[in-house]
Amino acid sequence: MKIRLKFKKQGQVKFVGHLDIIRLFQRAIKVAGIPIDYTKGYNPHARVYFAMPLSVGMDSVGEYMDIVTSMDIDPDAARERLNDVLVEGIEIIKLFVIEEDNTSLMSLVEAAEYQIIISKIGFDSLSAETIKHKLEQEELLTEKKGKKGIKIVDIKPLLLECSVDETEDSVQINLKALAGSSENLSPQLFLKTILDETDTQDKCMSITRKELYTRQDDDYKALDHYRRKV
Amino acid sequence: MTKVNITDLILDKVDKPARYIGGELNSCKKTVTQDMVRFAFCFPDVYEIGMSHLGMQILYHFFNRRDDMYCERVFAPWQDMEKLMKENNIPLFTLETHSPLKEFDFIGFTLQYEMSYTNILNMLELAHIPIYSKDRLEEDPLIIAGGPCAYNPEPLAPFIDIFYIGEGEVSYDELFDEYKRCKANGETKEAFLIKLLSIEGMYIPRFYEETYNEDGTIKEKYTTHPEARKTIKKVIVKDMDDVFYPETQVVPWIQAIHDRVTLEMFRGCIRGCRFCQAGMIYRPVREKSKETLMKYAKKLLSATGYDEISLCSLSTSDYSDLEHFSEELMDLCNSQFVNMSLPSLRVDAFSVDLMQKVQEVRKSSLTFAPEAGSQKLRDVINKNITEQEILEGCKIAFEGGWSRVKLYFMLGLPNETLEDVKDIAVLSEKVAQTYYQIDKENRQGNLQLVVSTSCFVPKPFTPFQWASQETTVNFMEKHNLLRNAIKRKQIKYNHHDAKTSIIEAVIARGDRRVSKLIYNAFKMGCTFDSWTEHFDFNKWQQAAQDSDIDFAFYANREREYDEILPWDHIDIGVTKAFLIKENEKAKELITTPHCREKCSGCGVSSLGGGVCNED
Repeated sequence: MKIRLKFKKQGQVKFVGHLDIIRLFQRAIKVAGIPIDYTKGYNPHARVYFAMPLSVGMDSVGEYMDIVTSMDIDPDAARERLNDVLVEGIEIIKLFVIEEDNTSLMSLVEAAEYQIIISKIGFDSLSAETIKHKLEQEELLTEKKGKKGIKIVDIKPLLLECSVDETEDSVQINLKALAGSSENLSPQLFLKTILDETDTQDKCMSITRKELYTRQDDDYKALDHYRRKV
Repeated sequence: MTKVNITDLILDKVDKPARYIGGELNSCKKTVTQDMVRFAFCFPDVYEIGMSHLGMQILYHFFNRRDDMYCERVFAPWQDMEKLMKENNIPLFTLETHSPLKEFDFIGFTLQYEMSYTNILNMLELAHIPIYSKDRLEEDPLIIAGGPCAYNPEPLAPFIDIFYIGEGEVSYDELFDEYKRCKANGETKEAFLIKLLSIEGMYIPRFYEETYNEDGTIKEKYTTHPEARKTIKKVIVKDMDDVFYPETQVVPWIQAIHDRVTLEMFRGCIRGCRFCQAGMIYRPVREKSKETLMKYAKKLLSATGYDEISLCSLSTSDYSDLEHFSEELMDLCNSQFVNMSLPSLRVDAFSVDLMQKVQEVRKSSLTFAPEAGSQKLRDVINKNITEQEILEGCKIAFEGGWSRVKLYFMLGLPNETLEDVKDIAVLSEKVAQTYYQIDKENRQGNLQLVVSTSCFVPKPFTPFQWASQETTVNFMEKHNLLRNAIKRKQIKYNHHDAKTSIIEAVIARGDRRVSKLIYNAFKMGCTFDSWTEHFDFNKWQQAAQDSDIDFAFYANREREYDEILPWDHIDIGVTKAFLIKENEKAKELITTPHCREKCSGCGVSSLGGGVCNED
C-alpha cells in the first residue's frame, strides 16, 4: 500500500537538516508500529521517500513524504500513532492512500509556494513599494554560484506568482515559483535578488514553505490532491 | 524557571544547530515544579560524542524514572556557538527546558577522559558559575562528578563538591533523598555534604587535605572532618539482572558517533591486561543473563526504531553464553531488518565466525588489538594471545571475505626495547603475508592493513601505576623507527600524538597541585584538547610553568611502592598488594590466568557478587 504523508515542520526543529529528518521518520515509523516495506536484495532499506529537501532554518506547513507498507493499514489510526511518537514541531496533517505507480515523489515536484516575513525593525530601507517596483522589471538578474563558478541568471521566468504586503512592522511576500530538479528558485536567491545583498545579513526574517505542486493538465496541482485514492 | 532564548539569528549562524535545540525522540519532557530536584547532566564534549555515551543514557533515564526529579542534558557548545553565547551574554543552558545551569540543584559531569577537563571548567564559566568550590555561594548548584576518571579525583578536587566513586545505580537515590530532606529543613550545603560522608561511595574533597615532602611527593593525606572516611570504597551493582536498565534511548538529532541501540552485556573484564584501567576498576565481572539481554533488546529496538544494535562490554567474546545469546539475537535482528555490531571481540576462530554470520553482506573493516608486537611484550602486559592465534584469526577473516584490517598497538610499554617496536612491523608483515597466502579466488578486494599505535599512558589502579612514561623524544623516535620498518605499501601506519599523551599522563596520575595546571591551561584558552586540531601543547607548557608543574615529575618518574599515591584514599576493591605482585610478574614475563580460569586473589571478591562468587 502506498501512503502519502503531508506534514508540518515548525519551531526549533527547523534546524534539523534533511537527512536527519529522514532518519527521524524512519525510526518514528518503526516505533509507531507501521508495517513499512523493505526493498528486496542484499541490502534492504525501508521504502520511505521524500519530496524535496527543506533548507535548514526554514519552516514548512507543506512537506511531503511517501511510504510503502507491507500490508494495508488504516490511515487515520496510523496518523494518530505517528503523531504520538513524533517530536514537538513535526506534525502529520494528512495521511492518505495514493495510487501505486513508479513515479518518485521527488520527480513530481515542479513548483513551491513560500511565505516570507521580513521584520522592518532595524531595516529602514525595507518597503513593499520598492520590492514591487523591483519585481516589475523585465529581467531580474542575479549572481548564482554553480558548479562552474558564478554566473548571471535571470530569475524572472522562474516566478509564477508573487504578492507583497506591508504592515506596521513587517513586509510579507507570498511567492510561488518553479521548484524541483529541472528549474528551481530558492527563496534565498529570490531575496538576494530583490533586496540588496548586504541588506539580508543579520536581518530578522522567517521563511515558511506553504505547499509543493506538481504539473497536471497545464496547471499546478498541490501534491495532496495528486493521485489520491478516494 | 527562566528560559534562555536562543534566537533563530544565532542558530542560523552556527554549524549543526540541531546540537542545541533538544526535543529529540525519547527525550524526557516534564513540568518543572518548585520541589523538584533538578539535575543538569553535563558531558564535557560536543553533542555527537556525548550522545553516543551509554553511561549518560543509563543515568538520564535512571534519574528521570523519579517523579520528584528532572534530569536534563548539557553538552559543550562547539566554539562557534560558544563565541555567540559570550557575545550575546547567553549562559550555558540545558537541552530539555533551555534553563540556565545556575538554576539547578546539581550539575553532574561525567569524567571519561582527562583531556576533557578543561571543557569542564569552560562549561562552568559559560554557566556563570564560579569554577572553584570555595568561591561558590549557597545558591549556586552543587557540582558532582563520576565516571572512570573519578577514581583519581585529585586533579579536579578544588572544583568539584562531590565525587561519586562507583556505579550510579547504587547510591544516587540515597543521595537525592538526603538532599531533599536537607533542602526541606533549610540546611546549608555544607551540612548536606557532611551528611553524604556516611553514604557509600561519596568522596567530598573539601574534607581532605594533603601535604608534600621536599622532593614533591605526598607526605601525608588527612581528613579535616571527624566523619570523613579514611578510604572511600567504590560501590557496585551486585546483581545485573536486577538493576535498572533503560527501556528506551534518546535518539540524537544529528548522527552520533555510535547511533544505535546499545546493549550492555556485562561489567568488568576477566582478562587483567596490566595496562588497562577499565579492566581493574570495573572488577568483578558481572553478567546479565541471556533472558535479561533479550528482553531489553526487544524493548529498546521497538522504542527507538533503530536499525542497528551494538553489544557493549569490555570483551564481548568473554560472555559466558555468547554462542546461544548471539544466535537468539541474530534471529531477532533478522526478523526486524536490524544490523548487529560486535565490538571488542578477541581474535579467535569463534569470534570471526560470529562476525561472519552477523555481517553477511557488508564487510566493514575488522579491528584487532594485539597491543604489542612481540610475545615477550604481550607477556609483560598479560595480553594472553599468541602470534599463532592472531595470524589464525586473520586468516579466517581473510578467507571470510574481509580485506580491510586494523591492528592496534601501544608504544612505550614497560620493558619495551627497540626490537619490540620493530616486531610490530614484523607482525604486520606476517598478517599481510597471511592474506597473500590465500588463493586469489578466495580473497576479496585488495588488502588494506592499517597499523595504529597509541602512546602508553600509565594509569592509576593498574599494575603499571608506578611506571615511568616514555619521553616525547623517545616516542617520536619509535614512531620513526616503526614507520621506516614498515615496507609494504598496503600497510598504512598512523600514530597518536605523543604530546597529548604526556599531558594525559600528567593529569591521570596528578595530585591536587595539577588542578592549577588545568585551570591555567583553561585560562589560556585550552578547550577541546582531545581534538587534535584544538590541542595546543605550547599553551600547556606555558601553563605548566605558571603553575610550577614539572611534566617529568608526573609523567616520566618511576614511583617507589611505598610512595603515597594521590589516589590512595580510593578503594576499588583490588588491593595494592595484588597490583605490586602483577607488576613484579610483568618484570619476570610471567602471565596471570583470567578470572574464570583461576582466581588470582586480586581482592575484589570482598565486594560481593560477580565472577568471584559464582558457583
